[in-house]
Amino acid sequence: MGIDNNRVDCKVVLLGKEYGGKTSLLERFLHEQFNEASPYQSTIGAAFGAKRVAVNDKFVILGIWDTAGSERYQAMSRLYYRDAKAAIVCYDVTEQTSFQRARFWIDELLQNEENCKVYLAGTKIDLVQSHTKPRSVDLHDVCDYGEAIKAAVLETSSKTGENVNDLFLKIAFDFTKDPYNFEKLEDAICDASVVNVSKADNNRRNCCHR
Amino acid sequence: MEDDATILSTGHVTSSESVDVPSDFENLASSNSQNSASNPANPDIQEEVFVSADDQYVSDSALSLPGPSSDDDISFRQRKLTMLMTEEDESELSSSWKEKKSHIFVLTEAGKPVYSRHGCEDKLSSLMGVMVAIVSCVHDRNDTIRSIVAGNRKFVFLIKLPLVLVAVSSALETIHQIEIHLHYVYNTIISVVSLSQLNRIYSTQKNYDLRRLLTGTDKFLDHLCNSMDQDPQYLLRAVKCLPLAGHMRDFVGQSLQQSKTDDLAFAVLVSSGQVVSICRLKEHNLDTTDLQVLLNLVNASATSFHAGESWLPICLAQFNPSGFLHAHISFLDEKLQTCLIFLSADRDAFFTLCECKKKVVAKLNKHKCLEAIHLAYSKADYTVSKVGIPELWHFLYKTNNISQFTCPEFSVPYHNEKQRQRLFGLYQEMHGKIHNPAAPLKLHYSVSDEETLLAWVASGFELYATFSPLVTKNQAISAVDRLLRWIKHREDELFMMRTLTF
Ligand SMILES: Nc1nc2c(ncn2[C@@H]2O[C@H](COP(=O)(O)OP(=O)(O)O)[C@@H](O)[C@H]2O)c(=O)[nH]1
Ligand SMILES: [Mg+2]
Repeated sequence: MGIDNNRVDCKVVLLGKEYGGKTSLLERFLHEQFNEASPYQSTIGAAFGAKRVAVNDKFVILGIWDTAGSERYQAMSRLYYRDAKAAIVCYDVTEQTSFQRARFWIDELLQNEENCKVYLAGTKIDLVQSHTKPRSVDLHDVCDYGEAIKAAVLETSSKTGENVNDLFLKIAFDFTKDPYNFEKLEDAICDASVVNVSKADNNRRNCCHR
Repeated sequence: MEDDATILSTGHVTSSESVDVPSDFENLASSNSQNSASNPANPDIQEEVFVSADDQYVSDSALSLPGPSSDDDISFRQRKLTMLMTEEDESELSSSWKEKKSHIFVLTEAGKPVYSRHGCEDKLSSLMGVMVAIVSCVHDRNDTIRSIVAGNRKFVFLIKLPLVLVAVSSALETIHQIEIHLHYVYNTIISVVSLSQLNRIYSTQKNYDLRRLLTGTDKFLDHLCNSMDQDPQYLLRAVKCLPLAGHMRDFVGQSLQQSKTDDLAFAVLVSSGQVVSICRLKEHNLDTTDLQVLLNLVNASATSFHAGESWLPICLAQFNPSGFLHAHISFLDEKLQTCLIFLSADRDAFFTLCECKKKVVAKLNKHKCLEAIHLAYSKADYTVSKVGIPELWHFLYKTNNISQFTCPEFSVPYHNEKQRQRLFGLYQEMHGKIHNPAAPLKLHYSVSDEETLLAWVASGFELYATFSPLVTKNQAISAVDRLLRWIKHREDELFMMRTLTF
């Protein structure tokens, strides 16, 4: 990967119910891969991955923690969201309970890290688009809820890649906009593996503009 | 591991055909397992009980003091258990379930299911209820149940309160070997929850459903159970190393040494489940069982570590049953073959260890170790023909002081699954005979139509060799001699003879 982990600028944590699509989201963002063929592998413990993202003329390194979301590691997840700048709380758009669970995670998170920005990511939207499975979480309900807690909402698919980069780019963009973080940013050298985003790109596919 | 000598003698259960049902059975059974009360199969079992004359149970002591519960009590439950495992019309258990050769169950003292190797634990509540009843019956007599033999079935118990582990086997394994399997299962569960956490939970919540803490762990236990049926490492309680030129292994060891940081206890490099090298703190050895539990975890979930660098707590029972070490796990190649594992006592060490990983990888690359490992892997399995003794068909060789073993791949006539399993069964049988706690042997030699087998326990090693059935005793002895020289000559390549320390 060639990323200096000591210089992780923006700590991001993935939260949400088991099977909600967290690992797939990270895999899509880091490696541009989606592995549908292999049987489901629940994450054990936590996994970390980092990627450098360009925002205008600045670079942000997103250091992302993927957690297991099972009870055994509940106490540990505190460790992962400590000082996190952003939390991606995943729910499966075809599964109502996963959205209820997402609310639980957000409450838990904000109790401990009130300054952490929340991004609600609906996952597996391709299943709805292809009529493979019916939608069971209404987008407007999620947006209402998102508005109440000042969270951005995006519906994503790790299978097609839809909205995945946009989600992470938005996190990086919001991060650079926060003046407190901005001081710490350092100019970095252009890197081939970098995803580029301009101001115009941002928010383009965000369903709920705020 | 418990002392073998504690198996004293056998207490024979009355084997009269008419079974006296103790009047309090219904109460006892239902108070021990809330679940069984709801099972309609319970009340009318008396008529169908089948008693085999040689049913017997072994407990820690074979005292026949009159206790709160009588022998009849125990024998009754034991028959009920046998019946549940065999009768066709009993409950939802399918016949394919009953045909499985080896079952492993884990339950709590209160009879709550924790794990079952075959089938969903929830469907097995009446079975587990009876198991708990047996355990508590024997316990009421201030005794501990160890095993029951009923026909060709062995029921083996490992009581590790609050957990009760039970194996039911109709394979050739000995009771002692099955107990060892149960210990591995127990250690794997402890690796996830830790002993102190387990005790803490059950001291306040007797009815806690441990599966809540074990979600995602079934795959470790399933993988372990399947491996124990075919991988000699559990039979021999030894690990297999990736064969690698000695100087290359030393380079790997030196590379691992680069990771030295505060609180780092062990660094391990593994390739395709085989150990390449280990570096450790001077004061601490990495116990073989702990290493096997760790390797099983990595092998069972290789693909779930793909996403990046993983970080998880793990309790290694021999190292410290009441605390967690923190494992940094990462794969060094795309094919997920070579895996680097750090075990640290510091739960905040993740990023420090990411740096260590880079240092280790840089040094590995400098000596072209990863290429060497890949090359070694592609020819890791050697055939027995390499030894150059035509009448020798297969062997297992374990060095006792470092708990490592080597064996060639299975080749003709053990090239198909059925033959492989048969040979593994023969090894189990031989191993059982020479390690019989009651009468251990040094040498065992047997001839059949299919092969000639020799097992030999010497001071530094254990050898199990399979020959063509036509071999003479003298030929076999001289072949063993040559084999030992062949191994000695390649010792440095086949085994990890030196572990470096930080
Ligand atoms: N069709 C589809 N399946 C997905 C998507 N994301 C995840 N999945 C599947 O959902 C299951 C759970 O995904 P995973 O990322 O492991 O969930 P996690 O437990 O939250 O990490 C896996 O079988 C994935 O293949 C998606 O965007 N589309
Ligand atoms: Mg996951």
